[in-house]
Amino acid sequence: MSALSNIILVGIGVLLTLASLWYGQNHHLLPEAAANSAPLFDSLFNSTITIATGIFLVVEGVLLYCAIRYRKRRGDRGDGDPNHGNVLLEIVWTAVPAVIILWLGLASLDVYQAVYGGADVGGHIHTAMAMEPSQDSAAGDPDYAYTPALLPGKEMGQPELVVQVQGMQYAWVFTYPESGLVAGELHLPLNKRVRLNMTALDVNHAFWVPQFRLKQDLIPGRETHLEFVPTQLGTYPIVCAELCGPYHGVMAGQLIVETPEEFERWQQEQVLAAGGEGGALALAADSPSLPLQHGHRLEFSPSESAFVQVHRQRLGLSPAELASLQLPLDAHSGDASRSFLP
Amino acid sequence: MTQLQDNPTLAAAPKASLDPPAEPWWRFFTFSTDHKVIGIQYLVTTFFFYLVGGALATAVRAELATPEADFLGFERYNGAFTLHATIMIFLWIVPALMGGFGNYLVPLMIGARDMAFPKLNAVAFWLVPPSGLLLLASLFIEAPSAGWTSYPPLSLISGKVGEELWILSILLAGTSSILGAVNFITTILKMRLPGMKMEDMPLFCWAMLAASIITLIATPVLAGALILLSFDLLAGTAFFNPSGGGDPVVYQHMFWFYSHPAVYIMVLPVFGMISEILPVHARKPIFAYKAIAYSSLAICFLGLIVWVHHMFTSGTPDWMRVFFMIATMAIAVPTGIKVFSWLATLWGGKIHFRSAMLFGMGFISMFVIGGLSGIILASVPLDIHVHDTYFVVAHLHYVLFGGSVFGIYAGLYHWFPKMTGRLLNEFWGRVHFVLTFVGFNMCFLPMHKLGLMGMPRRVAQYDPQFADLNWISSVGAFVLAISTLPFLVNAIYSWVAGPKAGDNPWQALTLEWATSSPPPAHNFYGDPILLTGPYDYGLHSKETLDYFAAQLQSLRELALAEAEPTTSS
Repeated sequence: MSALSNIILVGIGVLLTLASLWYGQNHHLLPEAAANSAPLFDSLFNSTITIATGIFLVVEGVLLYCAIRYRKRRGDRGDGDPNHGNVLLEIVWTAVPAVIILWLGLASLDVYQAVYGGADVGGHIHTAMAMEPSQDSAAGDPDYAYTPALLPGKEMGQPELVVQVQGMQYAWVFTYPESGLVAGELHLPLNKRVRLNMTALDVNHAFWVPQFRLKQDLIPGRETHLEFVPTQLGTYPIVCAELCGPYHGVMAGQLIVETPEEFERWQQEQVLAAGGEGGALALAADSPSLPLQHGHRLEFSPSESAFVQVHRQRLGLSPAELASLQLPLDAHSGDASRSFLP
Repeated sequence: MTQLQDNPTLAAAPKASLDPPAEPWWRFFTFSTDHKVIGIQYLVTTFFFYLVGGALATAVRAELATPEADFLGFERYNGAFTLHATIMIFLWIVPALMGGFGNYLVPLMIGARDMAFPKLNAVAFWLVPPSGLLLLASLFIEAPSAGWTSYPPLSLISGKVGEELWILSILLAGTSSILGAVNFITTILKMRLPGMKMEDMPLFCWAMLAASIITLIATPVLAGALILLSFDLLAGTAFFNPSGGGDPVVYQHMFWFYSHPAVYIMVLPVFGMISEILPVHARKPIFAYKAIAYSSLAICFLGLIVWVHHMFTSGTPDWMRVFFMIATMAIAVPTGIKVFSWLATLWGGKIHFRSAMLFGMGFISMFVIGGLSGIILASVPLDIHVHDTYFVVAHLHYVLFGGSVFGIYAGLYHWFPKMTGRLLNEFWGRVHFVLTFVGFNMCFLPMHKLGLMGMPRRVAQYDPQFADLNWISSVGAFVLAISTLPFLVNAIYSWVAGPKAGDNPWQALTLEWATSSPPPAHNFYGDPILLTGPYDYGLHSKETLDYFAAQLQSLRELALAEAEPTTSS
């Protein structure tokens, strides 16, 4: 190999590295980062994208180079160079990916441990799905004693707020066991460690907040958990990520991260507004409805709140019940509301 | 074992008597036990289902062209994507690769007269049409709409009739796969030409062996899951139904124990075909034969122990998440070995850019993207964010369309002359490739970003912030739909009236090219002889190959002369 081709090769290598590094930081593929878990995800994601970009450019580059350099020339009827192996080369391209995945595996473990370490996400199987929504605080839950995880894990600290999350076709219900408050929106105080204890009332759902990079399935008959610290004020979508029926796409809630003072005020207002109606079964006075995607709300008849219904029957809304509800829709209201009826 | 001819059409033309007696066209509609007939039966039937699945995909993308659910509506949308996925997997990619190419090529490549169990083979094929009819019927009765994964409890409450039709259809298709797998394993292990050792086999046979082992181990578990689901659905048992104490997560384990390895069933045979196609059109030996052969077996083994990476958010315990992350990532190593070996095969070659090669190289370029996004999905913390989003939809289509379907097209262009005796039109082949390549990337590349930004999969209605990328994607899908037309017209026209291909239009060295196109009833004239290795390009002088070709020619004349008095039609 001549000196010139060595220089060209090194130059290409440097360019590829720079391009990969640049793209790893400037891919604009992620929404804003709004919880402690998100920056950890992002740095791992960026490194992975950097490596992936490098591999992508090498493979596509070699492919294009071969297509141009080794194309059959006019009139050439011969065969190519009958080289059919090179042990050193094969060792290199076995070892390099092995090292890369070893690094990625360890880095992933690191991030996983930092985000989930100590939190027992696995959940516990309950024998039947008709179970009491847990009113226990974290301390009172016998299952919840920081089960030693596989990974020794950092000390994550006790959660400062526990919220019971229930998923049902096609709405989220959030219960704050300390105040007994029940709401259709998830309000959380800034910079406090939160634990969500989640169950599904009918079919599988998944709780996903893209800005937090966190997702956990809600499974009927067992309780699953998520723990995190919201680190940025704002309103974020709660997306159902597990197919849960025809209206899966409109099962969306809102997560509002506010200052601890605002959060306290909101909680008090809600409890007052509920005005002793069974104590625990308060319904947000200003929102007798569940927020659906982009402005739609699932309205409930004032006489009987859906939450009361849910707690009484411990069931999700059946299609018949849904039919009794009103779903105001905007432009395309005609079709959609008709098709809402079975 | 094969001849190298400068001008195959001329060489074949003057001795028309050397062609085998033409067989009647209606044999394709019978319970034929000829593996070549069965292979073509599979390919044509599954291509029909590919068009149906494609039409459903186009409807899905039409729904998603705008944020509102204003085309199919919510309920029909779920039916459409459920049927789309089911048809594409169980009635197109799996049977086209295993049943279609596997049947046609394996016996020819190893010098066998037929498959080990010809009647079983025909039974396996004839299970496919009823399986397909059940699914098509569900379109008119009640479409299954719990997704192709059909997770309970949703699948237990979204329509009994549709769900049961879906289960029965997949049980039939699965049974067909299992019968096929038994046949392939026996044929490959027991019916090779005397003197052909395992390591003399074409790499496609290694890939078929690995894919058949997976089928045999994993498919019965899916059948078990579906039978239990059937009981829950119809008899009110509670294997998976939480309201009776069942555990829906157990279903997920059983389902993915088959359905992840199924990805390798859908991609290993393509790996094998690419390993056949690249050396022929680059005129070079395959690089690192043994590494490619044994990496198929490594993928087969690892593929069986990675299924929980579909369940990282299903409340699986920590140790499972960690184990399955490491196992999943490990698959990158044997897969990487293959990709790098293919690139090295091209390096220093003399690449003929025929349509088969365009799709073959297109396969490498697209499959790499699917592989890289697969690494992201293997990492537990990264997967948790993108699981069940459009990122996964993008990934799986780069693997199953950019990978499998590009590979199937490469195979069709490469072996069409062998199967029909006629050449496809190269110009329309190129048009087909360009349209497919552009449409495919337009359709699926934007989905990566959609998923990462927050769009879940399987939704009929989505946040308007995603409208632009979805629109691009839908236009891409329409281009993709149109791209099948040039192929369809080309294939039908060429089958009837294309130019004669001759025995070996690409001057390839594997055994299927050492017989006529299409091959006679029992594949070879006299006993086939192994004269060269399968990838000996550039290793023999032109004189030697001409000599081999002449030997084959006289053997054929001898065989036909002997057969003359008995064959009268």
